[in-house]
Amino acid sequence: MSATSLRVLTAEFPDPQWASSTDTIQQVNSSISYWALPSPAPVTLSTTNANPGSDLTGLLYYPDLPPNDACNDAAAPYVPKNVTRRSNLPVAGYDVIAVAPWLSPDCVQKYLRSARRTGGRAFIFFLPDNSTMPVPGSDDPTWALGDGENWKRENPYPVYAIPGTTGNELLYQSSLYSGNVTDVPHGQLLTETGVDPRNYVRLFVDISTGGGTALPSLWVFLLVVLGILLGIIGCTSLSMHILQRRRRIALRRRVATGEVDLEALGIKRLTVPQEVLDKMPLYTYGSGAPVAHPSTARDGAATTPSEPTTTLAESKLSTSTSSRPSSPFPNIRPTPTLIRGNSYHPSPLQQPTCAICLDDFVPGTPDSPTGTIVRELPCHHIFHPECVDAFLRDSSSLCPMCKKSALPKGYCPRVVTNAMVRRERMMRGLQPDAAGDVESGATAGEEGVQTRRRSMMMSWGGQRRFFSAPSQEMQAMDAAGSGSTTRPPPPAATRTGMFGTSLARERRSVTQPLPTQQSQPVQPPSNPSRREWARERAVAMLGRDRAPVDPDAEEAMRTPRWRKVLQGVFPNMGGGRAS
Amino acid sequence: MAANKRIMKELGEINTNPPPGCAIRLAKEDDINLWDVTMDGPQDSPYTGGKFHIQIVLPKEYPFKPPVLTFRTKIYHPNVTNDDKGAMCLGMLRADEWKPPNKIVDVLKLVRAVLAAPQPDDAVEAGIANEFKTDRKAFDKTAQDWVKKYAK
Ligand SMILES: [Zn+2]
Ligand SMILES: [Zn+2]
Repeated sequence: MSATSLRVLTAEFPDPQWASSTDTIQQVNSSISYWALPSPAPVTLSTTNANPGSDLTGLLYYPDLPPNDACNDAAAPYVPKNVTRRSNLPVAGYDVIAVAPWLSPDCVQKYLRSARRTGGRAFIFFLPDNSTMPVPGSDDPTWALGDGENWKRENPYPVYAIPGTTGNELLYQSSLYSGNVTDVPHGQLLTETGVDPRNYVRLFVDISTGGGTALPSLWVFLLVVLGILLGIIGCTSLSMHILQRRRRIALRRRVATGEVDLEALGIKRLTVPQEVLDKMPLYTYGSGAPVAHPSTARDGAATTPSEPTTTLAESKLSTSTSSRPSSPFPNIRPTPTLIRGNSYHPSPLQQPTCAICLDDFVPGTPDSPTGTIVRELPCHHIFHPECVDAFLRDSSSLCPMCKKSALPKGYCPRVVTNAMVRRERMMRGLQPDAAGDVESGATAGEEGVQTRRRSMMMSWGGQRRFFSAPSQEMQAMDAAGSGSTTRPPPPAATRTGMFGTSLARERRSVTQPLPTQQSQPVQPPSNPSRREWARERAVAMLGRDRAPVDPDAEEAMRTPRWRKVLQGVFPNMGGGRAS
Repeated sequence: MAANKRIMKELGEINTNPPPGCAIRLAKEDDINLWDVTMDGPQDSPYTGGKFHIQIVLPKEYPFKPPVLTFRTKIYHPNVTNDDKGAMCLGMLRADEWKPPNKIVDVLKLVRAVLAAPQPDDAVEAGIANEFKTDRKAFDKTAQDWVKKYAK
C-alpha cells in the first residue's frame, strides 16, 4: 500500500458555495501552468486509510501551526509567506493534502494534529535539508517521533515523505497559486482562455498507490485460489492413485485366478523370467530323464546334465502307475510339469528336430545317455535350451511353435502398471471412469468377462475366415513342404493349411482355460452393438496383431507430453485416447 | 549366433536343393540376412516366362520373426503392393502366423503358389483383386503385359 508515484498539477475548480456543480476539478492548460512529476517516488511512512488501488488526490495546502508556536520560526525558511493554507481553499467539498517540513518531533506532531483538524486526506513531509537525495526508508530513525509509532495510528491519513528540494518547490509553487485567478502565473492568459475568474486555481496532488498497492491483495487472492485448486487436485489425484492402486491389485488378482490373460487380451507381451525358465523340465532327448536344474544342482544333488537320474522306462513306469500329484523321486524337484502323465517321453518321431535351429535331436538311450539335452515347454514342445531359453526370457512367453503361453497358469508379471490397467479396462469395453466396477471379483462378473472375451475372439475369427480356404495346390504343397520336417501332431482340426492357423490358435487359447464352458451356448451379449463398438475401438487403438512388449512405453509413445503429466497426476484418465 | 547357424544351414540346403524355378544367392557376400532370389513365373499362369527378382530380408530375430519379402520386379498381382516396395505379406509371412520351423524354401514355395493362384480375398491391391474375380481375361492380359514390360 505504498505510494508508487507523486503527481502535482494546477487545477481550477469552483467554490462549492456558489457553484451549481461541485467537485469539478479540471486541470489548467499545462503549458501555461505548473505541473510536476517529482521523482523518486515518495517513501511511505504510514498507510493508515490508504485504499489500495485507488489514488489519493487532493488540493495541496500547508497546515497552519498555532500562531505563536516556536515551530513557526523553525519552519519559516521552508514555508513561503503566501503558501496555500487551508483558508485559501474552499471549506468543504474537496479533499486536501497537507505538505510540511519534517522538523522536530514536536513540530511534526503539531503538523499532524493540524492536518487532522483540517481534514487532510494525506500528509506529505519533506526533509528540511534542501537535498535532492532520496529520503531514507520508513524504518529509518529519521522518522521516529518517540511515541512508539503511535502517531501512525492516531492520524487517520497516510503519511509520505519526499526529498527536501521537492518539498521546497511544492510549497514555493503553492505560494504562487494561492490567490485569485488573476494573481497566479499567467493569470491574465488563463482568464482569457476561459478560466472563470471567480474560480480557484490551486495545486492539486495525486499520490498513486496504483498497481503496487493493488498487487498484494490480488496475490493473496490468487494464492488462495491456487491453494484451493492445488488442494482439490491433490485430493483427486490421491484418491485416483488409491483407486488405481486398487485396480492394479485387482488386475493382479484376476490374472492370478486366470480370469484375465494379459497376453491373449493384448495387454502386455510377457516374457519368461529366469526362475520360471529354470523350473521348466530339461531332459535328455529320448530318455525322458530330467536333468538337474541349476537350483537343485546348487542344493548339492548328485545329478548332472550328463547323468540323468532315471531312464525312459523307469520314468514311464513311475508316471503311469502313480497318479498321485507328487514326485516319486524325492531328489527331483516336484514342479508341476513333472506330474503330467506323458511329460517325459514325447515320441522322437513327433519332434525329431529343433524347430529353431533345424538340427535333429540325438536320442539318448538308457545305456548311453549322451542324447541331446532338450527343454520342454508346458505345451510339450521341445527345443534346445540354448535355442529357446533366450527367446522366452527376452522376447516372448509364447511357444514359438503353438504360441501357447509357457508361463505357469496365473502367472503375473512382477510389475503391474497403470498402463496395463488402462488397457485391460479398455479391452473390457468399459469407460475408464465407469462406475460399476466388476473388480469386486464376483463370479457373475467373471463369467461375463469370459463370455464377452470369447464372443470378441469369435468375431475376430469370423472376419478372418475367408482366409482359411487354401487351394488344392496349396495343401499339396504344404504336405510336400512339411514332409521333410515332421511336425508335432497339430491339435485336432486346427490345421487349415499354410494359411490361416491363427484363427484356430486364438480360439483355442481363449477357450482352453475354460473347457467346461465349451459345451455351453455362448450367451448373446446383452448389448451387442455397444460391445461391438467397444471391441472395434479397442482394436483400432491397440491393433490386433500382437501385445506390446511394454505397454507403458507404447502408451508413452502415443501420448502427448501434457497428457502424460496429466496421467501422472490423474492416473484414471487417459483411457479415452483419441482414435 | 543360433540364428546365423540356422540361416547358414538353410542357405546350404537351398543351394544344394533349390525349390523349383528359383535361383538364390546372397545380395552381399558378407550379409547372410539379405537374400536375392530370381523366380521364374509358374507355368500355366499369366506370369509364365517372366523372371521376378525378389529380395528377402531376414530380421535379426529370425527364425522367431518372419522374413520380409519384396518384389523388386514390378508385378501385376492382387497380393503384391503396386508400389516401389512390392511387398507381399500373407499366410505364413504374417508375423502372427509365422512359425520358426517354416523355412525360406517354404516361403519361396508359397510365393510361387501364390503367383500361380492369387488370393484375391487376402489382397493388398483391392482393384486388382476385384478385376481378378470379375474379369479374369482382363487381369490375365494386364499381368502378361506387365511381364513383357518389366519381367523379361
Ligand atoms: Zn535348436
Ligand atoms: Zn508349443
